[in-house]
Amino acid sequence: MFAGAAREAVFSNAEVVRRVKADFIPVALKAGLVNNPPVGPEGALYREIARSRPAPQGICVANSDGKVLDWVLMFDDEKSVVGFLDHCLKRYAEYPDAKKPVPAERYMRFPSKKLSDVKDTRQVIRIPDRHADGARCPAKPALRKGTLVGRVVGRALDDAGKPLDNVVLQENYLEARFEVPLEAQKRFAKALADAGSKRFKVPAALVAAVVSHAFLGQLDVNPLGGRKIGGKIDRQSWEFWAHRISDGKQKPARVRITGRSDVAGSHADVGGRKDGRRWQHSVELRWEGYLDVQGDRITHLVLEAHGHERLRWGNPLAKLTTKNVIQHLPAGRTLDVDCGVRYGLIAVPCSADEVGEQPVRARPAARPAADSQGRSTRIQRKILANS
Amino acid sequence: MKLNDILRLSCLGLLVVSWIAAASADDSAKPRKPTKTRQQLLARVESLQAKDVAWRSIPWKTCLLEGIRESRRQHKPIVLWIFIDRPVDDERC
Repeated sequence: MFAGAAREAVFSNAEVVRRVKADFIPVALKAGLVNNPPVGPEGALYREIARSRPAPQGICVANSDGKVLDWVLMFDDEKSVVGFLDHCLKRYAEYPDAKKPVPAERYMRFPSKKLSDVKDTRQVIRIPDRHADGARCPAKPALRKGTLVGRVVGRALDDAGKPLDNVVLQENYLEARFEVPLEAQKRFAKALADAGSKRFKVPAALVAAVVSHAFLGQLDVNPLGGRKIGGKIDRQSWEFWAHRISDGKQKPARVRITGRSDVAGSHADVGGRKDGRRWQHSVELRWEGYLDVQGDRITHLVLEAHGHERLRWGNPLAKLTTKNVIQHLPAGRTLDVDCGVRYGLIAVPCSADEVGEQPVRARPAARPAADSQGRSTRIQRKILANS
Repeated sequence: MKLNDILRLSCLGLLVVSWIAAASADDSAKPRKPTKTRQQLLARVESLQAKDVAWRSIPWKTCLLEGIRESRRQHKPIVLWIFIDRPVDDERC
């Protein structure tokens, strides 16, 4: 829940936006990259950042040599966010680079709950001028040529069927990236070729690739997330039909699609997700759209869906409310959605600079830093208890 | 009842049952009239995107090296937003 809550409570605050743009260089990174860095000097940079982290995700401020000045997971209140930025600017004035040792400060909640500092190793990280020769930025997705890349936009609707105005909340407004892999495209193209001018059922691979992204809220409430998110799939039903609307000689072939989907998921208390979260999420949609197909590839996809969504999320252990998000960023806030929804998806083949191989990963970065008394796992539990 | 009559009635019954089954077949198997052209659909989908989303006004970089280069050039600290699963241009956490 962290990023959605951070987006709402921290990075949508007008003063915070103004200060970040004016006084900082903003960089957003996948936790997976920081916690499981690539090999080489660039990986060493990620590892240095990860070394002092109190949790796998959070907000961190670093100096111009990649040394961490401060970490923070939550804030006492809204004005503490600007207070944190001011504090970091003072730290940067004192430690702008790695010339002197930089102790990494860590706050579970700024400013009231400070954790112990993590000492600088004094290791100077060599900052490469650019990515290794022939290598891509490890933060850039590496895709197979021909993969469809698209954006899905989702809007919660009011009683009159109009999209809600508040687009800060992730349960009101969604914008996400999605991909349609080559195999799903090939299966669809084959089904189209086999059907000729007749109607045919759309293969499940393509349907799953689009339906699985049409939901509001954070990744933790994906109805089709299943065990990957510590949940379970309660219902997964869909039926999509397609037929060619262009004549047989026209290239690309244009195909019209209609369908319906009905998916639902909920919490399951499996694996590491026994943190007290409780959620249920169902999405029922009617779909229509158009695909262009050339050979065994889809060259353009546009789909619209409308229907109904029901989402409930909470955590009795974390004392969540709807009002104190900034104090509970890792756990977020309660969600209770029951409304009409609309989704739109557009996808085209990935660009040349998105094509590549995944970078080789080194060994994972060390677990979140323990303080001087070895209290790293206790820090994790404190995050929830203090949420 | 003679055997022929029985057979005739059975065939008739089968025909009736088949007709009822066909008439109540799933709607999705029947061709639907398109409700929107492709251009109309594209316009509707594009209109769903919100124009002024506050947090998106921050120019988030995704490359750490680029962030450090800019930090050195502008003498400003880097604020790193580290979150699970998706790159920033996905916008979903």
